[in-house]
Amino acid sequence: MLNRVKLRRSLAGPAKVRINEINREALIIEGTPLNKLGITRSYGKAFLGLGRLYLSLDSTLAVKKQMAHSTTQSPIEKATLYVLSSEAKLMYGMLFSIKSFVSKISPLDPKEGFLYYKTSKYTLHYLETPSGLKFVLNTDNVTQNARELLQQLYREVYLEYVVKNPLCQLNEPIQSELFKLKVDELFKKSPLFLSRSI
Amino acid sequence: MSRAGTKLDSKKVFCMKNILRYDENLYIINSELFTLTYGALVAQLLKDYENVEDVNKQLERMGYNMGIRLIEDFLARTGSGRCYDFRDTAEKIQTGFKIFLGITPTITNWSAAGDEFSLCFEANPLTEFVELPDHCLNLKYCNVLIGVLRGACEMVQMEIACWFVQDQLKNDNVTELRIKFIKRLEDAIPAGED
Repeated sequence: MLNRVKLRRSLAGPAKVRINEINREALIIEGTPLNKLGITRSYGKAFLGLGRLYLSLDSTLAVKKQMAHSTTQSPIEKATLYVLSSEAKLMYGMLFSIKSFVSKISPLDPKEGFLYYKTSKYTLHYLETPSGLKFVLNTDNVTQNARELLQQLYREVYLEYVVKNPLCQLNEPIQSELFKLKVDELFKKSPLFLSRSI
Repeated sequence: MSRAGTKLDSKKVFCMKNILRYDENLYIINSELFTLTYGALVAQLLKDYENVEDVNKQLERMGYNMGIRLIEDFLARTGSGRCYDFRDTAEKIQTGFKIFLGITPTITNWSAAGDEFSLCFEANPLTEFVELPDHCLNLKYCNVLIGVLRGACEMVQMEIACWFVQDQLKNDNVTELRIKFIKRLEDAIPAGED
């Protein structure tokens, strides 16, 4: 855990993210079943089911607004929300840096670009669609090839239950319960998850 | 764009989408039902707005809202990556028409600089039973297509302009849609980067 935080700081540190320039949003949710898979947390523009927290990277203002509006939340939840919001900013900064770094050092024109990275503690899988959607999945180091799973998530869940759902605005955090449910189902039936729960 | 307007649009899109059936990666739908539904939509817009120019604008806006969602469908379905040049884009747009409307427009009339081309439609399911009455000769009946293209391309960081050059509804031989590349939209760059 400590390693992870350090890594993120050192990578994201120099690139200060000016939030009002970012019009992509991130969504962060923690969930229990994912932990089984070795997935600790999931980030990304359109991410991800199971839990209760989501965030917009749009601006700190949006987060503050949410906090002001959500009177039902406990102080702890509010604090978590705040911490996660800065985490999301760092995440965006880090991914952006890695992405531009990868494309700069590539001798050829990169086709897929940045796919994943691995530390001693965890692996971060990354999928970006040409439309700029970013799917990020953190897993333990045993889990490999989660990219296929992310593609499946995009094709079978995000597309079907967010893009084709007129009630979901594309530039807002996803609040659809059905979406969460389907993400949960997809992950639970994925081979990555099944191989682990035996 | 007002918020209320956006909501209205997405409801209309929803109505359109409800009649589609998803089957083995293809939308199966009775083409007459589709044609008539689109016709009813345009007719209703004409009633609501009275002014033909407003209807054109509204159709374009609805198309735009469809386009920004449709592109995700296209990408997920074809698994295509980035385009290397605008000719590549043209082919992908052609594929898009094939997937979503079941027609294959021909790509012609490239400009010398290669940033502008035409799509020619021999047949167009949208205009199957359509005849424009005298009082709306200015109506761009298929303006929704323009919106779709603009929305879809914008989502893949490309700004384009498109317009109708010829229209079968106005007694031309073919329907010709002109598409011009304007610029690439860049990803938001965090401050401190070069």
